[in-house]
Amino acid sequence: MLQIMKYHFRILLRNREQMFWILLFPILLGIMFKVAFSNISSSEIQKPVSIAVVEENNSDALKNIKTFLEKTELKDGVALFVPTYCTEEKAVSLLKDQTVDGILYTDNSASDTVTLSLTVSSSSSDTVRMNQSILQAFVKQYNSSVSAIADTAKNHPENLEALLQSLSEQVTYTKEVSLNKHNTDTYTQYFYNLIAMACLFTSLSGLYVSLNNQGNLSAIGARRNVSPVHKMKVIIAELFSNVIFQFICNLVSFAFIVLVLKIDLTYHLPLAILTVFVGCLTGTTMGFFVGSIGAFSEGTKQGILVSGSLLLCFLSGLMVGNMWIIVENTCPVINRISPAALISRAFYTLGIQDNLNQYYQCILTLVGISALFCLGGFLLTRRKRYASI
Amino acid sequence: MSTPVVKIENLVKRYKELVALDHFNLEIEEGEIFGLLGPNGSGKTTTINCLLSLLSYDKGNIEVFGKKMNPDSYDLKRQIGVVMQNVAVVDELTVYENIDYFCGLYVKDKALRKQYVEEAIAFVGLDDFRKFFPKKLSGGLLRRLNIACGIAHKPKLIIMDEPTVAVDPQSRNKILEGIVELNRNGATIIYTSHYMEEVEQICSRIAIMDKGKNLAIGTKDELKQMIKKSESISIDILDLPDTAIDEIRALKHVYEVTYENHMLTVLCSGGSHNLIHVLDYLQQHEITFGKVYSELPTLNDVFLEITGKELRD
Amino acid sequence: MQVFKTFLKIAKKKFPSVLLYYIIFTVVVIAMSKIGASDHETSFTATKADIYIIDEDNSTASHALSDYLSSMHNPVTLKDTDTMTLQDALYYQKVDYILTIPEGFEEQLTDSDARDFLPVSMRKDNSNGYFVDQQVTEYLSSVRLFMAGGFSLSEAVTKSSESLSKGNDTTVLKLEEKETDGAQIGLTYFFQYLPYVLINMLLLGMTPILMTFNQKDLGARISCSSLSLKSRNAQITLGCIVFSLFVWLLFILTALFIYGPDTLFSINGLHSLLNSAMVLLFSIALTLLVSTFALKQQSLSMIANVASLGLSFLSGIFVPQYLLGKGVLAVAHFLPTYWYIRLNSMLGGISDEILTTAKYWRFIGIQFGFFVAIFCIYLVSSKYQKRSRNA
Repeated sequence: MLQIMKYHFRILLRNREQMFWILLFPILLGIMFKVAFSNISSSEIQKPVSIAVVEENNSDALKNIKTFLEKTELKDGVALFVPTYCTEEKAVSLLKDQTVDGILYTDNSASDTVTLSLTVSSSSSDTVRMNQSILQAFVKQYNSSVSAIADTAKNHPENLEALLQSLSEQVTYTKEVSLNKHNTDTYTQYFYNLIAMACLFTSLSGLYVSLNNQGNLSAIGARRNVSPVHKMKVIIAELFSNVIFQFICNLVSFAFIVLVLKIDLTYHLPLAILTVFVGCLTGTTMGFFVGSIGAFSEGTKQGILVSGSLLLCFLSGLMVGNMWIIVENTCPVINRISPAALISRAFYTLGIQDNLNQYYQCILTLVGISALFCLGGFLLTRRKRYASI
Repeated sequence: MSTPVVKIENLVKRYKELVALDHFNLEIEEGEIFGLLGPNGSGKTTTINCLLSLLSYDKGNIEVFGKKMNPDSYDLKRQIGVVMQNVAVVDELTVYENIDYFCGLYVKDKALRKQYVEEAIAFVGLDDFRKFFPKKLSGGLLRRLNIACGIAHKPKLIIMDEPTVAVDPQSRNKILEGIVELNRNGATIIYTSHYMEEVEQICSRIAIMDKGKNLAIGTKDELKQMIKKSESISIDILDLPDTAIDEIRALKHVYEVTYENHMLTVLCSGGSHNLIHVLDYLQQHEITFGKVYSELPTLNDVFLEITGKELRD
Repeated sequence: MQVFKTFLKIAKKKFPSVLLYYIIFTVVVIAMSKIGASDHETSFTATKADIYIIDEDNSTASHALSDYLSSMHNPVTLKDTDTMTLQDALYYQKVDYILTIPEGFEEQLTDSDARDFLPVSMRKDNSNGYFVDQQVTEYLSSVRLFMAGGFSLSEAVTKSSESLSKGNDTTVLKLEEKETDGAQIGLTYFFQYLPYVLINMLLLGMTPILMTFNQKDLGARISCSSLSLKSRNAQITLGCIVFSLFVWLLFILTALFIYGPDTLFSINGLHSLLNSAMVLLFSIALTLLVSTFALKQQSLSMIANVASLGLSFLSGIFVPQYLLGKGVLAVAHFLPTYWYIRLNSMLGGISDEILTTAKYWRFIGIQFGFFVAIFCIYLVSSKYQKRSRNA
């Protein structure tokens, strides 16, 4: 048994090309993710909104709006609005170019108070729509303030001064509290899924364990079958050394992601490492199981494993970040049994939640799935006489 | 009489429509080098694979060392060494490691295994190549490595499935000598091939099979007696009258006479002194002749006669 | 045509293993278009954020606030209100903004000195949460304004709600090119994700075939036959073209089936088709290049993954381009898919850029340039490989 493992390690180590890619591919993707997401979480998503203000009408009202526009802060003294004062014609052309997101009109024809109206273009762009929405809210608030002043002047003229004073005050009502213990940002979930994918890709090595041990699939398999060593013994030894080897490789990539890319995956570090290990176990046994099924060619089995792993990772959010919750709402059972979802979820619970019950639930499920894969694979490879070779 | 090493009774194996083995019978005694001859597709490898419990079969009984052979007959498998038709070695391991790896599946004891591996390396003459990876070996060396992997654990029964395919004469000789030596050291050997000379050279008993059936079995001489032809006489004659041809044909044991390009060929079946009879005749009729050749039948003749001459595959 | 025929025969054998990609893609696209199509409307309506409000005060003011916010946004129902559910909902973008109205909210609202008394949690990666936050502030400011003006609390909240939600003060200017409907948006997303699948399918499906021909023994056998190298290469190229065209047409037919001919063969649709043909060319060149390296199947899977996922993330296939940082976009300029996606967003009207004819052809040209460049690298590399093999 030890001898088989020793040689199997040697075989794995000598396969330089394979090892290179096992190590490199999570690292490369990790770097790309890091680069791609480096700016997203810095909360500077909302950029100042450009508007055109038509200055044909009333200069008094304009002055009023000017101060109002300047007072509205995006944050830390940066104004939310970048106004351009121009003619209506110019404003429309700016809107058409999408240089500005909306046009403000002052309007005092309706009554003696100045109200604002807004023109925007129809657009499907999320950013443009958001800016338009902010503009609309601004207009509403302005008009509401105007009506408040009018109302007060009519009903409680004695309070007008207090009201105007209150109007000039900037008050914040909300304070942000983080629900997350560690304030982990959402984009780490892509890294959770990246590790999940690296784990599932170990299935390719598991595939070869089954191919190399089946007499009808390879010459070496035939030779092993005629040897007096119990087949299960060889398989277990090889699976085990595969899991350890892959675990070490993935641990290197994990270390790279944590240490070099500085992605915070280290809460409950021993448990995080355990997750990587269990992930490799599940991946390898999955490959072993698929390799044991039926008479598909090696290429087809690989295709199934690779695209299947990617599908599982897609469903747990590797490509579209909120996939997990969509699945949770439409077909939660997938999240309970998909290895990719379980691995990334395990990391998530470590990073976010104080309560580790869900973590252990994930890990136990993964171990259970591995056991099932193993058992299934054993049952399928157990048949030792083949109909044809 | 001792129990046969291998006993195959009424073995039937079908691949869907195709009947690969059709009530095949075989017994191999201890100490034999047993040659299994047959054209491509005659069922040699299928027989071997059934014998090794790699293949399922539809009917029949297989015993090895007097015990029924099953996929989990580990104690039997331990005593068998197999050299597969296809080279089955691990690309990532060196020559030494490959032999050690496969030997390790049979022999637990480390020191003993080391000794065995060294012996196997010396046996196949791969001493200079022990650190080589299989990819760097030539075809003949690779075959030898393949053999070493199969026999390093000193099995009592060695099964070799066409071990000399695509091997140069030097390597082949080395391999054949080795087989004889293994046999001398006490191993029973089953050897499949379609190279007649090889089988003729080393095998003590031979079975000829075709279409899944055992057509003939026996020693070389026994097999040769089975066929009509026993001697072929060729004589250089400058000028032979047509009447002489007919008269020679009438001689005892002669069944075919041809005269082409000043060469008289006489085929005889059975009997002895055929050559003398022919030469006597020529002298009596004062026909001058030059070189005289006499050939005894080869296994090739036997094989072709039994299995027919049409091309296979 | 022996080489070409063999190419097709191998292709036939290899195709099932990449067909899975097609099936998964199609199923996902159909599912997504069912979910996503309702999101987009032609006329302007203010962005609605997904919000969740926990009202612990249960007062007139708290009701008014939640009613007001609920009328402006989508209130989300959650199974539970425990922290874990809230975390999940926020983390996985089910809600953008969680507002807790604590006990004693009403008192604090009437106390004009009180501030920062509403705990909220929001996502920081989009502006929705920020937007809602702004509206909460506006609403409460308005209530205090009315109260400062001497109105009672209940009067103030009613007046605030009225005045803030009143009004047709926003008009929408129709720009004629911007005719987008559900199918059009769907098609845009279809083409957005297409490069990922296309690159995977070509890399995984075609590289093994090409590698067969580059194999040492087979390559040697072909090169010592009477077939000229030119003819061999031409036939292999033809095989590649047939294979990739087949894959491409498969997707086009799928798009036709899902979105209908009116959408696909509209001006925008045809422009998108040409755009996707550029990605196809790029994928072919990439495949040819990769196939010059003798790789094991397993390594190929990983390379295909790194290439397709990497390109997708860096050029904004999976994460919208406007979310990517300036640095990333600068790097992305060197990826053809970046230009493809930029063009595709403009074609679909989901970009904040306006499409012009000049821009369209410029971007197509850039992509074609990438194709030519990579193809040249392939030619050099294959020559080098051949020489090193013969040496």
